[in-house]
Amino acid sequence: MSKNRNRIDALIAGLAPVRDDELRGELQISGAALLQTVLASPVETSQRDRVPRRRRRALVLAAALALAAALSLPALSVVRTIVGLGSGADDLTPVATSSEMVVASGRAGAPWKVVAVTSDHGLCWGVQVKDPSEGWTRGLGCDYLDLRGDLPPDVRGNPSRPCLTSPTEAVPCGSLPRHWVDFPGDTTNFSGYAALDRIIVLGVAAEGVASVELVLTNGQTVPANLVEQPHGLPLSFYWAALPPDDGYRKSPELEEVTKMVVARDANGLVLERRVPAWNGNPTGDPDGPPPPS
Amino acid sequence: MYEEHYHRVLGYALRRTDRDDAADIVAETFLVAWRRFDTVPEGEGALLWLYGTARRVLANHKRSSRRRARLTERIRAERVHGVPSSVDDARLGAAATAFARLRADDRELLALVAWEALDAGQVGQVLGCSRNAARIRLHRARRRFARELERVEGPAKRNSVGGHVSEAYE
Repeated sequence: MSKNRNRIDALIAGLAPVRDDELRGELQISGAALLQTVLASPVETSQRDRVPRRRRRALVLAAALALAAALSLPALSVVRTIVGLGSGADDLTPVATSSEMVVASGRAGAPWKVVAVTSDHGLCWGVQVKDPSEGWTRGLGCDYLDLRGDLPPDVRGNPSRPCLTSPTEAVPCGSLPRHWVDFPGDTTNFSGYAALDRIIVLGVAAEGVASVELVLTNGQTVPANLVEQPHGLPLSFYWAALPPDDGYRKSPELEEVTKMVVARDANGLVLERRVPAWNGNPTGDPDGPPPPS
Repeated sequence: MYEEHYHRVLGYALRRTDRDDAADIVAETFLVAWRRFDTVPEGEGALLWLYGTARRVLANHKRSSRRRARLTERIRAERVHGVPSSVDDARLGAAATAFARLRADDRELLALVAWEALDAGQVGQVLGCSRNAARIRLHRARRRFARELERVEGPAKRNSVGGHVSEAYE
């Protein structure tokens, strides 16, 4: 009985995304940076919550940014801004193979830009925002790209690494079908984007895609801006700046504001209607179940 | 306390969210600890207090800015499969699927034991319940996990892990 319990615990232990002992190398730097910021904040007194909420939020943000910056320091010797987001536990630090490329930029309550860099973990990209007091946010995400086309390894990423396409389905990354369009992420997900007064939706599309539409969870369909093959990259980026709190209906299954992406060719013909992998089409198979109504 | 427990809290956060958000969680957890230093227990209790605080901070964080971006899920999944283990990849993939199908509170219970290496009494302190209640909830969570694993793996592999788990919680 106890043996079964231990085997279950061991099995679950094997699922841990990272182990404590893997973090020790980062501790001296990141810990010191965070501690310095934490110690600068006041201690609670008898009066409840004496730190004004706004200042408290700023303190937390400052501490978080300090920590996020420090966490990425091992990468800085190679590249300036890649945070180790998107790499496997066996190697947390992507190595850049290009300089940073600004793909798009604008202002939405604060300056923002879409930055991309190729790496040994594939293309890393993300939205960076300039906080009035803290400067630019830093995080980029690197991923295996399941887009069509002959993408070089430092754009495609590692196809041999197994991955999940949804919280419930395990699929080898290398076996994924190739898509015309990537399902986007958006900036509702991280407090570092708090300075924005619009939601930036961002994704990538394969060569041959001439336009992209976003079907939102509030029922609206909006066109996305398409940046075709910037800086000679063999793919395109699409983005849209959406009003916040516009009746989006997020759910535990779908927490982005987009519920479907429609890619069209130059003639306006639909190449693909892509839905989240966990939304009724767990393998991401374009010939799988139809998109939600 | 900070030097002793920082990496544990960071690990706790990184095992439950992505790297950027983990920075938020750790920062806010230690800010709370600093501001309420007088209420933080000494010794082992400090770590459990920090886990409990990080758990609440994480819950608030998710409530205020929830996401399950495809990118993050895939990243997390890559990490899952990237962890060296004596368990073969297929088994680990099935376990990941079964684990993902559990309710969040079941996942947290099992993770506190398997990832943070806490016993039932310590889990009770983190979750604010008695040791006995934690044991019972753990027992049920393990049973549900075993059932999900059976469903994922199919009848051929039944009883390989979960066959008798319903009787075991101590």
